[in-house]
Amino acid sequence: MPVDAPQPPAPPAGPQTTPEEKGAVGVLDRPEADVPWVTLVWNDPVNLMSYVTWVFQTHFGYPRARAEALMMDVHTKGRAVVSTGTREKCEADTEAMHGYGLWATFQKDD
Amino acid sequence: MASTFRRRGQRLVATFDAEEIQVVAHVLELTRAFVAPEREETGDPFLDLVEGLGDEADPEEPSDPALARLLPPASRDDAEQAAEFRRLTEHGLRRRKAATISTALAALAAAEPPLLEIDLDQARALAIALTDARLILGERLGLRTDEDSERLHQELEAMLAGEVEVDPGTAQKMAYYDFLSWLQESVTAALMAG
Repeated sequence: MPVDAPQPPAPPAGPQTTPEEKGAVGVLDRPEADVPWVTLVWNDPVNLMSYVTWVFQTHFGYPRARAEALMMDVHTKGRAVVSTGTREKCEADTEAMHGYGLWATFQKDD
Repeated sequence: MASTFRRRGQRLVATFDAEEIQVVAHVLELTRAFVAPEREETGDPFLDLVEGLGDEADPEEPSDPALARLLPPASRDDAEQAAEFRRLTEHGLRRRKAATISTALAALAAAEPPLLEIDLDQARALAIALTDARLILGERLGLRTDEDSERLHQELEAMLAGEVEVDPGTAQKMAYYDFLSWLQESVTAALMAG
C-alpha cells in the first residue's frame, strides 16, 4: 500500500496538563521518557507470509508461534504492534524493518 | 529447470539453469542501481567518512512510488516525524540495501550451474534482496491490495493458458514477479527449516 496522499501533520499533542485548583496537589504526569512507544508493521500486497514470519523471528528473536500470530495480525487486521519500548528502540526497529522491506512506523503508545 | 532450495546443514542447495541465474542477477543489479544512495562511495573510508559527515537525506518523500515504498515514511500521520527520520536514516538504509544486494549477487556469481550452493548469510541476503526487487516490480504492476495480488496471479494463469493477451512488457514483469516470488518462498522456507 505505497504512498497515500500526504496527510496534514497531526496537531501537536501538547503537554498533559491537569487542571489545578488552588491548594490542590497536581497529579504528576509520567515523565516523557517513561511513555512507551510502539513499532507498527503494516500489511502490503507483496511481502510473503513466510518471509514476514521469518523477519519477526530473525530480528526480534520471537518464537515461531508468536511471529506467526503477529504476521496473521498484519495480514488480517492490516497492521500489528511488533515491538514496544523507548522511542530509540522503536526507531531502530522501524529502520530495521525498512531494511527488510517491511513498512513500519513508530509512535507513542495510545 | 529450477528446483527449490534444500537445507544441508549450514548451507542451502538448489539447481538452476544458467539462464535462470542470469535473470535473477539482472533484476537484482537493476534493483541495486535503483536503491543505492545517489552519492557514490569513493571507496576510501576516510573520504567517505568526511563526505558523510553532513550526510543527511532530503526529508521529502521520493516522488517515484516504488522508491517511496522501499524507503517508506516512518509515520502515517506525523509528517514532521517522518521527515526527521528520513533525513537521519535514509542514506544509511540505501547503503545497507545496496550492500545486501551485492552479497546476494556475489553468491549468484559463484554458482556453478546447475548447482547453486549458498551459505546462510548469502541466503538471508538473497531473501532480503528479492523483497526489494519484488516491491519495485509489484509497484510497477500496480499492486496496492491483497486483492490485486490475487488478480495478478489469475491473470498470469490465464496468460500462460493462452486465454488472454497481455502486452509483452507487462507479461515480462508478471513472469519475473512470479518467478522471484517462487524463489523467495523457496529460500525463506529453507532458512526457516534450520
